[in-house]
Amino acid sequence: MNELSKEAHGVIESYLRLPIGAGAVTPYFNNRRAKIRAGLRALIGKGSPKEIADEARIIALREKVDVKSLDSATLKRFLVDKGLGIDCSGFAYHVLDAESRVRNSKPLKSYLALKLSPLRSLLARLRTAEQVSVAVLARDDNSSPVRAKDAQPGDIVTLLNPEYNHVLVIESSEKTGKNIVLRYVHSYAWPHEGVYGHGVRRGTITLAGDDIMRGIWDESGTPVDFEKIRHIERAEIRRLRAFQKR
Amino acid sequence: MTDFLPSQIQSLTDIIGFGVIAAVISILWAPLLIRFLYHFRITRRSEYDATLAIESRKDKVNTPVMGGILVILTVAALTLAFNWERRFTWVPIGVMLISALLGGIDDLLNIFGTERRSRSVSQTMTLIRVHRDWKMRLWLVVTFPWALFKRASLWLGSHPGKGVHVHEKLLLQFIAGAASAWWIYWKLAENWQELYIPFFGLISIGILIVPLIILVVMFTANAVNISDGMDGLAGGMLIPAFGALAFLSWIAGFNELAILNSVTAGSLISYTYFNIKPARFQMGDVGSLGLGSLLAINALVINQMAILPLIAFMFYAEAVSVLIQVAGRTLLGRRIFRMAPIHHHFELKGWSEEKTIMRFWVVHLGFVLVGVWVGLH
Repeated sequence: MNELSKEAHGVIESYLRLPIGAGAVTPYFNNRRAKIRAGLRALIGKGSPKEIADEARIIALREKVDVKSLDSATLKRFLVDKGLGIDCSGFAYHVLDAESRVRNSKPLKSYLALKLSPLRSLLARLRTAEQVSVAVLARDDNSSPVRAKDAQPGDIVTLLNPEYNHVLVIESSEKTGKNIVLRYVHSYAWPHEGVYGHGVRRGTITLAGDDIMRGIWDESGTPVDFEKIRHIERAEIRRLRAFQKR
Repeated sequence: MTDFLPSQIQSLTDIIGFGVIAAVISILWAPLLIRFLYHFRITRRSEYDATLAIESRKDKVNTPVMGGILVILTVAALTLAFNWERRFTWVPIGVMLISALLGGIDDLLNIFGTERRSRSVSQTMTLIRVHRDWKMRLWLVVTFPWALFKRASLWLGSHPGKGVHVHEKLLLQFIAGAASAWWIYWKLAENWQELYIPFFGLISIGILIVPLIILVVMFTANAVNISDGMDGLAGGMLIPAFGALAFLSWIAGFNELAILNSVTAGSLISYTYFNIKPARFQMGDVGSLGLGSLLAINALVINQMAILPLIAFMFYAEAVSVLIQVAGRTLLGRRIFRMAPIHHHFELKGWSEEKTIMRFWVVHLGFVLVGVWVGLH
């Protein structure tokens, strides 16, 4: 397997260019601050590209904004101002769900153990994206660590910290000489990007060994370093149970 | 014709005649009402109505609301003058007027009132802990269930800040429903204590019919209220509904109720004449809640509760679409429809307002006909 399925790529491309107006990169949105409860997925950072676009259209209607006339940059600002976007685990969920449906003919939630009470489990089956966090994906009953040289498209990179976790989806993996180059995609907000520059983006990690944090991280020609933002206690490449060979 | 008795023909003539009179009276004083509403600026404002943002609806700003008063007052006046019969018309008119009053207050508060905020449950609990006046703390504890009800009722309706709050509306509608249930179950007595199911006959559910009546009155009133969102939509669908009830009431031998329904249908014809696009006025909650309650109670009193979902099909469909949308939002985190109630969904899909309204009329009329056919069995 050299790359993700066409369907998973389609989801990624839709997040990179939302299907609304001139199109814009889906911003990063985390519900930690807003703390919206029982809201629409699109409003809590867990929506699919279509849901986010539809919600943007409805908000635009209410606010009397003609989205069709907005350029990408203005549209992005509109999305950020209205609290629309996707968080890292929501993004990973939708991409990997599309991948699972292709590879396994089953949704990703069939392979996830959520460890909730019976009633909450029932509700979680209806609102799975909202229940899937980085911690859930990184649990041993949902995924297992793999070595960098064995990394495949569909694997995830989990960066764990007691306060804040992050997940990236590996799109492809190739060996160049002694190094392994992992191409990833994620939703993130780097501090230097300010209020409007964040969102879904692609990057690469060039690894000489298994230690991910010692690799060279690059996004659109800009070196990036998660350790500068916060200390990473555990960084791993993990393979979801959905994509493990049985 | 030869199978009808002369008295039946006469009563049918009276019923239709009253409908015509109601239509004529309404059309004569409608222009006065419109001027009155404009004079006192009882008009639609954009600041509390999100649907006015839809491009095709921008011209509705400053359209008079509370046009439903035309029907409410015409029906009440004609009934008082010619059809004031203690057993059958007092309570329907009373319930209609209570609901219309609630709706009228809501309309006026939405236009002239100020933002009314309500405390969240957590704020109330904090005040119970920290308020320095023990009497206030005691009051907050005693009224805590009411505070819970207030917040829970927000799930049932979005509230723009002005106007009657959802919990207040529910309480007043409950009173209207309870009055209807009291009248039907205890005052009308024996023949009204069982539920008639077409093709099956009467079934007794005992005292459970009382909460069922209350629920039906509340649901139908809100259903008509929810449906009143486009020019001519609610009015155009209420005409065949009340017409059907007039016919079924006549068949069942309730001439007073047949006249009441006919007068309502007749007045609605004149109302709808002025309400179709571009509307000279809109119904407002005064009309939709009043007429919704009247629709329910008039169906209940002739023991046709079972066909009410057919007679009021599109109203119920609109109300159910709202429930589905709320359920989808809560349980699935997604919109099921682009916007609820469902007439907005079609509008956002690109249907013109006229196409939406006329299709709804046509579908509703079809179901009313089916309802009449079923009701005759």
